[in-house]
Amino acid sequence: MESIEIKIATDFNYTPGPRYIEEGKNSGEQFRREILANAFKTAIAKNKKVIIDLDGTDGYGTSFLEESFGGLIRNDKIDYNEIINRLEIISNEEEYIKEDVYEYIEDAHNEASN
Amino acid sequence: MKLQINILKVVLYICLILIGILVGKFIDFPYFEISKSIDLVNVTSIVVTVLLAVLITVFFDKRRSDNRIEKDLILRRVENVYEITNELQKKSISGEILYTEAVSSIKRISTSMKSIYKTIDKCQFSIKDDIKTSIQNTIGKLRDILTNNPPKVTKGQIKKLDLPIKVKNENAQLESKANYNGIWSNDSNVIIKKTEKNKRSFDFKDLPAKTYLVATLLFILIVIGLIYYFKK
Repeated sequence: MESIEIKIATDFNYTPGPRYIEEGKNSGEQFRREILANAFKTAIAKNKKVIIDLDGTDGYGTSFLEESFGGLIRNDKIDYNEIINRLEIISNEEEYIKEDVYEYIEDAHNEASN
Repeated sequence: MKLQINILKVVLYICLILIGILVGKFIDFPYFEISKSIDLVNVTSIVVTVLLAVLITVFFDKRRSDNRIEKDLILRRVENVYEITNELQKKSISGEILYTEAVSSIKRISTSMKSIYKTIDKCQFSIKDDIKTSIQNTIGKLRDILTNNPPKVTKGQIKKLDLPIKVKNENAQLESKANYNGIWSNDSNVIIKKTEKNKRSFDFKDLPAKTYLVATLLFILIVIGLIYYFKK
């Protein structure tokens, strides 16, 4: 399967910010709206994988990651299974972030289904 | 300087050998004879002993010294992590910490820990997996405390949520602040304003006992004053 690759450090910003656009620069909301949601929509339409490379940045806050990935379900209404099946995360610098991202997606899915 | 010391050492050794020869030549030791034959077993034993002494000094001492250096290196790195966390603690208590600063500090802690684990592995020390997991969980909790603000609650979600709110005198009131702390929302401002409005509305029940007493005294004084005025 072909893939869409996004390296946050180069395609978005080296210093990811807070959750919402009104809270500061380079927010998770901005990343989701400008890059991530479009990537997933294209990937679904063209049957591609989405590879997100989290390495090379100054670090990620919980809010940024939750809003970016959880927001795909909560705000962009992208199907949970489509996200899980297509998403691949690279995080060699902070390996535990991978699990956290999948947890945020799971939580957003559970909240949406309740 | 080093050369001079070496020359002095050589001179000292030569002197000691010469003294030994002179003592052997001119002083007669009773009941003491020097055998002129060489026993191969004894020679082998001496050679093995010398070799062992050299091996212990060179190999084991070096290993011990290396271990000390490695331990110092690990301790220095742990100290670095301690410094970062200490700084984070100070700033978070004073409320001066920036979001990006908190995030980068946590990443620094995380990468430092990773490098400590690598050094430990290379030095052939061991660290238990449950300790690693515990440290990792603590870093995760720290990250959540410093960098997580929950998402806004949408109107649809508010309807679904069982909020700790009761309606009293057509005004919404929070049942308790503690219950409300978990929810953060722009919509919640409306609820808080309503509560403030409710506080401003006059209710005799809210007045303290002293106010009742003062009001009653004032009322009695006014009545006495009025009676006195009308009698005149």
